[in-house]
Amino acid sequence: MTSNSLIEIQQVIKSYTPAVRALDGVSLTIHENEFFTLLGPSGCGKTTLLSIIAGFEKPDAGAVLLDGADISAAPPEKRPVNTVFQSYALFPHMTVLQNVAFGLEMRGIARAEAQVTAQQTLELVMLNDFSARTPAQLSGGQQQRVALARALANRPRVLLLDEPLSALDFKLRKTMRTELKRLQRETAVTFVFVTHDQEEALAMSDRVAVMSDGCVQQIGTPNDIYEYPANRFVADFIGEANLLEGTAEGQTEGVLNVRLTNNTLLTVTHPNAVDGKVVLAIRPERVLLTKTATTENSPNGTILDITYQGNTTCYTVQLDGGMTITALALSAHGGGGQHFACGETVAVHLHHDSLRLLSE
Amino acid sequence: MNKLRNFNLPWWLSVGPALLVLCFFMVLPIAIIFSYSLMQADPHGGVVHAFSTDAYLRFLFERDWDDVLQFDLSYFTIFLRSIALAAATTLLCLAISFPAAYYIAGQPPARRNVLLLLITIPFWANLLVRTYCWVLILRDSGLVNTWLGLAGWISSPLPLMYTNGAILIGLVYAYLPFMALPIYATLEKTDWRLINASRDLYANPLQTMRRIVLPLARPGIIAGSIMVFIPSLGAVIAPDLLGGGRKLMIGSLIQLQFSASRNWPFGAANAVILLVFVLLLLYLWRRRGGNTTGAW
Repeated sequence: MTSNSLIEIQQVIKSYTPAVRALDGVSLTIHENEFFTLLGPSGCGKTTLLSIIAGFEKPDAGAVLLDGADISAAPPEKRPVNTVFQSYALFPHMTVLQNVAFGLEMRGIARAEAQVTAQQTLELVMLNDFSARTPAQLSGGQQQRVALARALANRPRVLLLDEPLSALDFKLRKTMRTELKRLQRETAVTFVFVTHDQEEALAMSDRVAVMSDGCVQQIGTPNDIYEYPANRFVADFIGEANLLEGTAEGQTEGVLNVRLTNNTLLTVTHPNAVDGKVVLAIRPERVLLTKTATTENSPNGTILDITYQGNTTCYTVQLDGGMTITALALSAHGGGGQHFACGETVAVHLHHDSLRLLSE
Repeated sequence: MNKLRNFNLPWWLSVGPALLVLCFFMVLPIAIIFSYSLMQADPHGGVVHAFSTDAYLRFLFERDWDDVLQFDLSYFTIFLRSIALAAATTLLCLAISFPAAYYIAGQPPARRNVLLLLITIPFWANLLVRTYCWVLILRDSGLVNTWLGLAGWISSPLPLMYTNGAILIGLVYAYLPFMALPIYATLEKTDWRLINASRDLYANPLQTMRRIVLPLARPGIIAGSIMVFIPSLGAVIAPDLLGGGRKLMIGSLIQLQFSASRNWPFGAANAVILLVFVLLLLYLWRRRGGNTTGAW
């Protein structure tokens, strides 16, 4: 992956109603040949941002730069950017081949030549035998591939994908994830992918921008945003997280002491000195339960609830002095898959390297 | 799909009433008209029950004093004028309705309903009254001529009434909603994201209109054209009031034969010719692969 910047979003603001800002000063850079994902709950502004890159919406303020040139005012047909729509938006009165050749023809490529390219692109998505059909004669997954081919046939600088997998069933969705990755590698086109599905985002992306309330919360590799969430929202939205509130009580040599609200004292690896109220996060799979306590970061607790999930088992533990915490472990071989029983007293290990200090 | 089937009405109860209405008010009258067209005229009105093809011959020929058939195109001219006026009405209605329907379909739902209501409001007044209003507007002492006179642009009234133009205005005015509503109905169902998709695929607004919007609106355009062309071909009120009997259309001609001219067979023959012409048009349209629901 090269790090040449391809798209620059600079302080973009967009409101549909005066009171609510769909985008509230978004800035980010998308690199050439990158699989970039905009991730966030519905209403976070990710689709609005996509529409602004595509040119369907104009930003109220700020700029969109493509290859260094400001394209904020250009209409969609003047942008080397193509979109795969959530609803696919295939032209119902055209055949699959005509759909895929449409963009090429509109750019002035002769029909015969456009259809050859279209046919080649259909091969890329493994639909070469379907060119004469109309969209209504295709399944959802096939329509999805046509939508991809229609956009990719133009070899755009950027391919925008607006929750393209949300209408597919679970198995097909998983196949299409691999498929999209393959297409991105083979075509070397920059993909900007919008989704509310964090699993999808983590599995496919080179980098992810987590958005909420019209703002970018964090940008990083999937591993970055999962392991080092920048704030409470990201920790909570990406995967599961135990959020522990407490007060910082002094720092020595990169280790911070935090007293939780239930009076447990924990040590956290953290480079800077922090004062006052803090929030700690730890992933359930990093929480280790044992029958005997060690000296550090292992408060005692009682198992409240056990949920068997097949490959994993989830334990809800009540710490002494209040506060519950969730631990996730691979299911045991015997004993109904459970390592512990409900009501059993356990030591809850919260390793100082696994605890993250969050900003609010 | 077919939910109505669940009610399980016996066929004679479900389609029976419609069949009866069709029989009594369509098949029977057409049969009567057809048989009258092949009879002799009774000069006092009505028909003499004797076979004759005179009525059809009269459409293209005239008997001179020596009872010899002379080719005469005066009735055929009326027929051609009717077709031309109906075609022009259809085209004008389309040109006016399409942008309007496109605009309305793009509005938020609440505004759409208000605008649709405005389009249908003229329906609430009698067509005769509405057409007579055009007489008040177009006649020598009418609104247009008065205003143009007051503005000093004309010294004598423009001859607006009793022209093909006057009839055309009346027809377009009367049948405009029949074009606008079906086109609106198809546009309203159109997925507007297709327009975004088209723009996204490098089509400018004009290309998007031609390649995406128009083809998708086609069923509505066809339905509207049929609903405007056929009734305006046989229209009576507009040609009567605005053409003043000087510029006849075939509808007025038929009406005249059954009233003042008292030549029922000739009136009936004209009606049959009109009917056959329309059916032929529809047949040809279907045969060249056209239909009223599909794509180009």
